[in-house]
Amino acid sequence: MIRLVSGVILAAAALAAILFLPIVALRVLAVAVAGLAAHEYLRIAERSEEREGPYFAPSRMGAARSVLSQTVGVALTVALAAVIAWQLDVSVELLSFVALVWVVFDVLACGTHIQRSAAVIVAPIYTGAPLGMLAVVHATHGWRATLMLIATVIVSDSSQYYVGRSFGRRPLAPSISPKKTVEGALGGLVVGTAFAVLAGTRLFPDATVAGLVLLGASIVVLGICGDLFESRLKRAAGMKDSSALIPGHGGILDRIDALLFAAPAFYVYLKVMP
Amino acid sequence: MRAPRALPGGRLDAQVGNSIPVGALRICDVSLDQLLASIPDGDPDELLVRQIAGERLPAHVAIIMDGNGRWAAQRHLPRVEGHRAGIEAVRDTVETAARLGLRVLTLYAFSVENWKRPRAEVSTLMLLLKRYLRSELNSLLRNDIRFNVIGRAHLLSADVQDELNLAVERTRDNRGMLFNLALNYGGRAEIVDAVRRAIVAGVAPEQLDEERFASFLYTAGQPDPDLLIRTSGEMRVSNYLLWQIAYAEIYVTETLWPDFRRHHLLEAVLAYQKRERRYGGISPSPAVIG
Repeated sequence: MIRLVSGVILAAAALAAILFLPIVALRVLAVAVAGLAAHEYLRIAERSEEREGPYFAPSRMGAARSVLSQTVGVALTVALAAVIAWQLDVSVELLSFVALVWVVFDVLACGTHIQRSAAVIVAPIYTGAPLGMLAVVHATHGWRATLMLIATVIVSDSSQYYVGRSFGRRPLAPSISPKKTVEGALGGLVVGTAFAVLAGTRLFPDATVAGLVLLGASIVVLGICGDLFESRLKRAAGMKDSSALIPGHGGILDRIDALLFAAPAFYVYLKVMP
Repeated sequence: MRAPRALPGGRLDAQVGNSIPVGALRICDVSLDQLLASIPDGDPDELLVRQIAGERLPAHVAIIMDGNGRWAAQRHLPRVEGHRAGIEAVRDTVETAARLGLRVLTLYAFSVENWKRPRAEVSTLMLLLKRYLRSELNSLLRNDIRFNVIGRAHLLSADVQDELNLAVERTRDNRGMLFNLALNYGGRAEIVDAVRRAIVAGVAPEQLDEERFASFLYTAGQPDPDLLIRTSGEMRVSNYLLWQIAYAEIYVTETLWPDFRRHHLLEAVLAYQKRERRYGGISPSPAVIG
């Protein structure tokens, strides 16, 4: 019951934000969500390093390194999300340089293994970039395009669930996500792609069906990857949810895992579809 | 896909747009049907189209596409994003104009003064232009549109010129709307170019009259614009078709170019048809009684 109520509230809030928030406010919101998601990701990553990292060794700087890596990861994420959302020109180069400075500092001064340092840099790429792109989609193509992307992900997710429940036989990735089935994934692929084509032809009168099929299929496949990726991270860390932020739903990362991988596909589609 | 519209003689006649050839009447009616067929049922644009008098369409519509930068600024995006969004409006406008049955559409894409913009913006504009041409060629062919460039296009970079030439070449035999893209265009530059050509052609001073002079312009043989649309609310002519717009009705809309769509064009045409055109006389011209 809590799950249902908070789910409805969350969906309504997201819809209201997309429909009614001014462009700049929505952009700030996207950047904030990216920061939160990065925070959750970094905690999961750290936990999994402690649990199963063959290269894990307590840092020379102890707990301070943990705080520092969190701060750097979230800051880089927020910065990258903002740079993309506002389409600022030079700053991506600047950010990659800051990321390099972090790795150098972490490896040399803290004595951390490179894998652990690098995992921090994944945060901006994993959570910051996609949410920045989502904000750009909204700014350039409006709420309809934004909702089309989110709706395609949701349609894909639910059709995977229902098709899998009815016809699912062969497990898709038993070691990561035992409930996912090949049949469910195919169902998601068919229904999700069909939805993208239907919505896309209404939204972009000049889009080709072939392009929309490619877009829809990419959203579904990348969405599944995003889902599995996050599940794998949590499994490695021995966590069920990314956090307890949303009652009954876990963390923010659990809600947007598929979207994080699907949004870049949509963004690239809009950029190359002239 | 669509049957090509046959214009008598296959050539646009050089007369000023207030006289519409008899044969064109039938053609215009067919075109309104064509436009109506492309509008989904229940779309409010259908109502607009039904108010348009097919026999009194402007023969030539010229548009100053202004407001891309402002559109981007409103969204706190770089200017190039506005240009990117503007392409959508170009596509919609060209298609609507062709389906409506306009004979000539001229879009002001790049002026001789636009080189003053930041180099990155100019190169993005050129990139978008190339990409537009490549992706729209099929649509131009499908809609029987003849593509043409006006302006000092020979000063654009070679790759852009190749793309332009290809589009001109491929659409050469189309008989539908003529689509002029003004690139590296300036109205004064055009007049200077025309004077140079007249001198090269050895025209004696007393031989040169308005009609003869017009035949040296980039738009030789085309009807003059009946309707000049400017988006983004600015009240300027900005060195656009200075000679040709002598009697054009000017329609300024607050809409920013990237937001300009089919119904904005239809509204402009409707506003044009409500006006009384006199060409300096006191009674309205017979072809355009409001």
